[in-house]
Amino acid sequence: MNKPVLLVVAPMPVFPTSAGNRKRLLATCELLENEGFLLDFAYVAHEDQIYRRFGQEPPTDMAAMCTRFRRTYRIEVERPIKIKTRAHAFGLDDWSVEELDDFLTAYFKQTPECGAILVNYVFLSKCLASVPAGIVTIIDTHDRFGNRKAQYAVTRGDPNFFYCTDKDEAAGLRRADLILAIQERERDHFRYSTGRDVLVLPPALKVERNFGPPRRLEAVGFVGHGNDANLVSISTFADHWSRLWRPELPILKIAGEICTALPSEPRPGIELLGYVAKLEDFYDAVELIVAPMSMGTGLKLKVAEGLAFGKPVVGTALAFEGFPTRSADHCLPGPEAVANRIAAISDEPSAMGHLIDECVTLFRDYARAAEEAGVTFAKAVKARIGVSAGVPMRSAASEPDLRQVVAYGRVEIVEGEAPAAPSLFTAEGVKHVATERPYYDDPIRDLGTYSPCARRWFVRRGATITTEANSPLAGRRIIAAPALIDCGSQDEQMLWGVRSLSEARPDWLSTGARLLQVGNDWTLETLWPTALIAQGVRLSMFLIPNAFAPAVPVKIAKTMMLFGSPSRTSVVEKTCGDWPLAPAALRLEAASARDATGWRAVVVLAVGLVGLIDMSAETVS
Amino acid sequence: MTDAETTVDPGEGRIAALAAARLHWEALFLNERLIEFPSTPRPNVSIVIVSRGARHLLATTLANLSRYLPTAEEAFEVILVDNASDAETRRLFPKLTNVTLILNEKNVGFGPACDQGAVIARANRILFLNPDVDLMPGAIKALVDGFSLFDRVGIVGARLVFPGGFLQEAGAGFVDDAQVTHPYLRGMQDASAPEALFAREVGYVSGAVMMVDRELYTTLGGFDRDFDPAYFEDTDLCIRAQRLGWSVVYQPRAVAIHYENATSPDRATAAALIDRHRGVFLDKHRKWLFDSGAHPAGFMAREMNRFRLRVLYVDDRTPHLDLGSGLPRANSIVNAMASLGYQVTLFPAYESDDEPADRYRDLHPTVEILKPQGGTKLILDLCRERAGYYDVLWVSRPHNIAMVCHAMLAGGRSPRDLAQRIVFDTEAVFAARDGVEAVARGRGLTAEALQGGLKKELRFAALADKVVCVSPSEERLLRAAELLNVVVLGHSVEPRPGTNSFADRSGVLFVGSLKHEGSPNVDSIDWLLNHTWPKVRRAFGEDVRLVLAGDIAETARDRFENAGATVMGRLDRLDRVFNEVRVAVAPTRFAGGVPHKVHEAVSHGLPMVVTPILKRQVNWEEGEGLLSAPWQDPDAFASTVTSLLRNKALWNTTRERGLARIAADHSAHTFARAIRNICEAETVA
Repeated sequence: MNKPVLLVVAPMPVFPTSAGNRKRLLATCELLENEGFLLDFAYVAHEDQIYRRFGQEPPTDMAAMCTRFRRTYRIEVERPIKIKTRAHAFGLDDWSVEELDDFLTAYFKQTPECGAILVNYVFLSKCLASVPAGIVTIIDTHDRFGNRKAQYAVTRGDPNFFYCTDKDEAAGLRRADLILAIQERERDHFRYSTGRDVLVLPPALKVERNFGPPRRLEAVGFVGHGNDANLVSISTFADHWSRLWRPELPILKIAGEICTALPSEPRPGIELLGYVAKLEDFYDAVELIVAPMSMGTGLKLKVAEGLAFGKPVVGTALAFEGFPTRSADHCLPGPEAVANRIAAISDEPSAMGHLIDECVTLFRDYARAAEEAGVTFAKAVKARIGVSAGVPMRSAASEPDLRQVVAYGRVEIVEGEAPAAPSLFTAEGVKHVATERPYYDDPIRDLGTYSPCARRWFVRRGATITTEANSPLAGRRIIAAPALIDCGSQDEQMLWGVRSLSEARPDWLSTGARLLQVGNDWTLETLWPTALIAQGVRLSMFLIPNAFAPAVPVKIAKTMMLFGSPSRTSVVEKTCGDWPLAPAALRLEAASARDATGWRAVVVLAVGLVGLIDMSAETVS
Repeated sequence: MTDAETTVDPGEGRIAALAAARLHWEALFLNERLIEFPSTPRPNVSIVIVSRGARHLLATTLANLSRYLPTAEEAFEVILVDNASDAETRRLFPKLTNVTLILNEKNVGFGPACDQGAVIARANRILFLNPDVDLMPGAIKALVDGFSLFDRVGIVGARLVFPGGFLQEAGAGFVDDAQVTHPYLRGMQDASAPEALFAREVGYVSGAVMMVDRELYTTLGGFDRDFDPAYFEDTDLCIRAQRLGWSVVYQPRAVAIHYENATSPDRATAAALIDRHRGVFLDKHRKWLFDSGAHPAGFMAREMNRFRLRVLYVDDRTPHLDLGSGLPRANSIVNAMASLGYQVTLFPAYESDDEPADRYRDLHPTVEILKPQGGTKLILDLCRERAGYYDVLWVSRPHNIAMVCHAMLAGGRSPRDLAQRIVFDTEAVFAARDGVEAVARGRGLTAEALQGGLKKELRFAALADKVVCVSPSEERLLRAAELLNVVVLGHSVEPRPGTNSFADRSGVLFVGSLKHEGSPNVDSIDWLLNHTWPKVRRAFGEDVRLVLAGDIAETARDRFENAGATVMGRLDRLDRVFNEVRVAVAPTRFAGGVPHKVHEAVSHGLPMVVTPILKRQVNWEEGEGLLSAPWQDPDAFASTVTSLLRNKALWNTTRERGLARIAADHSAHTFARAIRNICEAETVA
């Protein structure tokens, strides 16, 4: 039987399904597959970049996605995403991705069987201009961005992540044939703002556990991703809970990435579980789920998921927005009220029994509405799309392929090509150094450019001592491993790794620098990215010796900007992002009583970018 | 004599005002006069006044209000809630017409009385007005306009002035000290000081003149009863609004004389209430205000929004659209920044307009415009007084860049002590213009001389994050001079073609300042009239007109009129003349920068004939809004003008292609995006 093909475009991966938006994405994909669609998936690697910017290795599981979808593509985002704006709002297309436009041109040329595209988030909607006529275009909104900024007023927080004006958001949504809202209030808003019909599609979650009988509360739980809405809400709740906690009250167990953003000191009544490998283990360890949300848009998946795992949920009105609520326990005014309510019912079986009854009804009604909405949505897409010819499934991704091991000084550089190369990430004595940044040679014709596979390099302690060798990274465009930014140590293995990536093609390059030595004071005169001048910017800096030896970490004691033009020999090259460079004198803390001669370059690692200051032309005065 | 010297001490001013109010009351009754308001079936503003004795000032306030001439947008109703005033005061009420009266038999307090009035208010904007306030013309409309100045505005307050002219309050903010609340500029002698004249988001505004969005007021449930009978309820309302994401805005165009404390109990009782309610206020809001980590400190405390980008913009003078010399472009930049939500301080180094209305005639009301003070001293003063306040320093024109850098060097500082990001806007590269002029006037020019001139002119530009120039041709020049971080920012113009067709139009237009003999513009008209215009007249007919619009020197006027041109001088609005003529010309022989005159004319749907130098500066193809001909060949220039005057198809095609180019390259959206990319650095985690 012929199946219609639909391309899903998302700025987040489906796997690991560790955040609400990923769960929503997976639920939508499952719905479409159940309704007979074949799915291609294009991951626009926004979230990978964000992880790296905050010094974390992105946990994206490309291998799982390759297995899951008919075809999987990865679109690397070259330009750094502006996480904040100091204007009153982001422009609608500030987060659009040029590489995605090229990808879609290539994809639709070579995939005539595809009849529809589902773009996740309105901030990627500009790409729909690159979709040929006749293809059904859909935007899944996930959230409402028009009023997001105002939510930060609750805590006077610094607004970040995407927000725009209502007018711009509506203009973005009107680019699509079909608009999906995640809950009814947002559907009504988008209908009003766009003047168009909008479908509501709450995510359908399968029942994981049935509700049990009422029990005395020993533990209540909260699981969440590390976003601002979770942080603000659970912080307020936890502060209050800790103050009112006494031994007869249940422990609050917090799980998920959110734990990394919370204070790690022990507090009464609170236990941080961190990242949990199996969600069911977390749900089995608590009797009730709290949803004390005081900010956030969209639909709170944590509420639906808690119910799907058979746990009663107590929360704020905001947390339950979009759910067919009837109980006062589902429309409490704020985090403090949620804490007070749980304290009141923790040892009240009748109240718990009543709450469980309400939750059973709520979840049943929600699930029914979600199922009906799913059928309506699928019908609406099918009504617009022609049924395509049958297409074969792609075979599952192969295991990591170790292609090359090169002796490099006292280490080996191990090169692998795989969606994730997970075995190397966890191998003893092996450390990640870099991932290849794809070079889009022929971006609108060669679909192979968007392969989910990426070449990665690791350092492994090796017995071989070579006097000279070329790094396999030489001349390649790379993304440095986030761990290197904090590698100011004397870890020789990693310092060989830094040495190896000094031969790669940097994201910014400055030549004509001079290293001056007066006594023990070293001063580097160079063109320097002005964005790195501010205090508190995370960066690491390494001197690369002329001799074949590991990199040497150095620290900047003081930065002074210079009046006047750079030296005649200065050349600046920027391949990634807009990082203005200006003449500066950096006073360095010399790592040891070394001579200031004999260095050929400085490697600067910051915000996920590799910078190189080349001193080979002119070095010491 | 300055304004500041004409003011009198607030105490004396108040005595004089009270004396006048007593006489006003006496005359009202002696002469049996009424205080009459019109009936307003559909008010846009509901004014709620709470009275408590103080009959003389109350009568004056109402009488002044009855003389206020509202426009349709500010049509108002008056609701007077009387808190058990004495019998003498209540003698006034029968004299009021079309005022809704609520008479309380006991003093329920200020907040509850306001709520009583608000409940029956019919308009979407509620103006709480103290009974001792005199609103200046247009104040109500200005308050209404305040709601559209920022995102999601909930409350707007006025510029309050003491009787006598001292400034009482220009918005207010919070500092974590014993006093907590700090009215901005209170007691300043000059109520029209630059710092008091720009609109901004503030911590709170006084309840003396406070306009509140009705939806917000309902959401908040009115004033909090914890502050009965009075004091801090207005401050509390402002904070509660902000905690829900609404802004509180200070609107300097709403000017009001506030006599202050007219209805207060004795000083000791008032002081005790203030102290008690300050404590209540702090209990409620201290954490949000001071412990959130987001409260602006130091100089920033005058504003509430810590996250707004703050720009110090330096140029020769206050830039206006009608001035030429690159100032229209500066005007567009400053206004675009303000529209983006940036807080802009404009520092006109040498010249500004005396009257605030002239200063702000075409500049966004949120822009702070400093007084011109010759540069160096003010730059160093700003560095000291506003340390840490600015994010971006934008300096326009090479001589101002040199001025700022010299000032900094002399003071032992770096421009980065003033702002984290430095933008130098070359505006027009004079070395390039001088070079072209030298060639045009037959003098020689070597590449070395040009490079040397450029380097001298832009010797400090290397330290900037962005060096802005106005055209791709200047970008190439700057890059050749080894400047880094060069970026192009042209003009912002929207297509607004006049409705007249080819047949409805006649004549040729030149627009530009002809004020200075020897300038590129005057040179170009001399050349046109001497070498080309006679040929056009011979070809097209003697009756074809050449219209010159723009400031003009008297000597030039005589010369050009004698040569047959129609001299119109400076016109406030050019739309009409753009719609009447058929062709515009710009026979420029030497120029720097990018010609605003070309963008203006083409955006109005007026095709042009220009010299190749201008065509290169705008970087358009032949036929895109303009045709070009070299000034070295007067016959070619004349025949090109004649063709465009005669050939309807050519005229229409050139016009349409020009409008399309303007829409693509110079829209406000494109311009604003370019400015954001210049001002906002890449985010560093």
